[in-house]
Amino acid sequence: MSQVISINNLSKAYKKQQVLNNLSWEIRAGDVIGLLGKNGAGKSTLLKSILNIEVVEQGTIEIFGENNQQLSCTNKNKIGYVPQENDEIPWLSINDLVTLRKRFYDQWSDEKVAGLMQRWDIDGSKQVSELSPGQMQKVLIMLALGPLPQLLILDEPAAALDPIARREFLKELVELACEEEISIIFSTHITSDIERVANKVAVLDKGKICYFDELDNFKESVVNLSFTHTKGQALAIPHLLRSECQGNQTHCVVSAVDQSWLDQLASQDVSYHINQLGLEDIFMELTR
Amino acid sequence: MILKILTHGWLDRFFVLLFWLGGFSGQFWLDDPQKAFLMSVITIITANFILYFRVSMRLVLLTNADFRSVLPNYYRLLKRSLVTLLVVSLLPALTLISQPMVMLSVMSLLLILAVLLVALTYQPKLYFLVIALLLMPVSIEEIAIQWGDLLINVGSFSLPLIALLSYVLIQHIERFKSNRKYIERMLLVSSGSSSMDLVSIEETNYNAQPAWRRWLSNSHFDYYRSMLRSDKAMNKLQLIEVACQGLSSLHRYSYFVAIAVALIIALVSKALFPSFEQISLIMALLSIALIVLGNIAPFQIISKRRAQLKQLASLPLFAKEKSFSTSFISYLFKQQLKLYGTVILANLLLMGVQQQISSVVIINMLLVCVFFMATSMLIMLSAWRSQTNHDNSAIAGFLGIFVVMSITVMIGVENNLALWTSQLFLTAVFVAVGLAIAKISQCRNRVFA
Repeated sequence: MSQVISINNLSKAYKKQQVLNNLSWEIRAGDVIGLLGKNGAGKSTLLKSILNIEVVEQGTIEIFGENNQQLSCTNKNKIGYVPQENDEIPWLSINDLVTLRKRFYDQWSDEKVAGLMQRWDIDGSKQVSELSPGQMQKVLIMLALGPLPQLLILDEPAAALDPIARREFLKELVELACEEEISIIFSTHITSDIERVANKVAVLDKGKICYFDELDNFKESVVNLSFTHTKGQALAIPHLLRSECQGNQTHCVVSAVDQSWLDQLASQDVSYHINQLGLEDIFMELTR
Repeated sequence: MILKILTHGWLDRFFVLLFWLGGFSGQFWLDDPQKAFLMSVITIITANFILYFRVSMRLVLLTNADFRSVLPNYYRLLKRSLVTLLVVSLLPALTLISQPMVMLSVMSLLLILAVLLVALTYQPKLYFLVIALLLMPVSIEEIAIQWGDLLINVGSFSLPLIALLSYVLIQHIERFKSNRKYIERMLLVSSGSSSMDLVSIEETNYNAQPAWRRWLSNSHFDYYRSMLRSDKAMNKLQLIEVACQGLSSLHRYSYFVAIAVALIIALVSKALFPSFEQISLIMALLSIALIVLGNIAPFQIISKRRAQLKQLASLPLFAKEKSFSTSFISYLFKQQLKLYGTVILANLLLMGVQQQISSVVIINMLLVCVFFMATSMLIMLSAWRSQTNHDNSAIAGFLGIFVVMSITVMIGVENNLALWTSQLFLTAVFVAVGLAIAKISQCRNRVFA
């Protein structure tokens, strides 16, 4: 699969606070990536930096093989973006907003927009200032899909949507990813959304992508191990993230399961249980 | 804590302290006791005006804040802070003015000023009354000569009554309510460092606006809506112009209306008061209103839309390098030319009707407008290019420069001075233009941080 985004040694600071620190990352065509990170981890900054909305101090970003600061019109036409905040012009109707946005692009699918408006029950005559945050979010997503992008960047797109709208939107994303093979990066706090849509997970922590892999691997990346052993028996646990001892019970979280070590334990009459963690718990363990 | 909120803002504190210290230093440095006395009175009134103006803005927020009914002892603490503030603000008058009667009357005046400014903030309609009073064809000098002693006597003897009235008003502060929209409007136009946590008029529900306001806004926006709906291609400047319009934008016919108003005022004043001599005051008021509104309103709208404009800059239409920044600066420059063109034309009409026009005045006006334009663009672009939010400092900068320059212009007009003969003024103009050019060339790479 060809490379869509390539980030090399990206650094960005706000005043003295380093938000992105020598970050390198590669995204391939067809990737649907859920970007996880704590509040203030720099998810929005990273997404905006990719689009050259934010200025970076150091590093290079290439989109479709071109430097993002000199991105050609052809390649800009291939990108859709949903910002986290709504700054759209409040006095315009949704129809006018669509017309305005359309004028910035060379290619635009009126059918796609009309279809989404119908499916999401969006009244085009309504003014932007009259919309609820959820309705506005739908409009922003619709505007991002209008140019039929090959790369879709979404900054917490489903945060303001109700559960029904969220599911519909995620379904739309899955369809887009499957039918049109577009690359999608979306930042979110809702880990269940990642399970529904993403095929890869990235975790942003301390200014770096500290984890990036397939979703299935992510689910197995951190597990909970419980041992019952004789009191005082010392255990040297490989890949240990943290552990807690209660009498002859040890509960620990490990970043990988060493099967040969487990076999060794069994031979010493130490019983153990492996418990899979949920995405949210895995994320918490990785960024602890 | 409430006292801190009421007086929050380094810029305001700085100016208040500066004026108070100016009053104190005058006592030591000026040999002429009459001049020292006059300086003390002027600096005290100016410092207290700034203080009361800012406090009144905060007060209206505090009495309309949602947590007022939740926090215990809220109003008790607020009232105590207000009394403390009033007492402290009167101390410079008490220590600096040596003549007891004048000192008491100045204190009365300060208390009236405080009450008036608070009343104006709660009921902005009262501003019309103040403007009408300012425009009255009476001479302040004559009043001072004829009624000065009487006013001082009345002022000093009525101090206990005014102080009691102020105290009673403070004790009933919880009863003061104001229309939220008025407050937002006021803060939008004149706010310093307090606007940060407020919902601006841009974010208020459009349908919650009064009918006349909606009609006015619609008649302005309809022009852009029809532009969008037509099949005609729109250029980059027009698209940026659409994105920069907001509910507080000056109406697209405002400039024509301003010129018409100037003409009507000039003709009426000439017909009714042939010896009317306050043309420079009308000119200054009209110019300040136009320049302040014409700069601060678009500045605030664009500041609020910064994220949106940055996003638009990343769209395919602006794929060419520097394309967005060049178009945006051109749009800004065009707006500035329109604004200052209108100011010059309106002033020429006013002076023309009053037959006070001269080549000196025209060149003065051109120079001042060039200075304003350069400083306005410099302030705006500097604020937008900064990573931290400097919007409030920028607004304070606008107001400060406008006030200083308006006084310069009024002095120039009154005395028929040729401003270009002043080295200081010319240096200021050249520095402002030079800095503006440097900032524009810096912003050609990127307008917003």
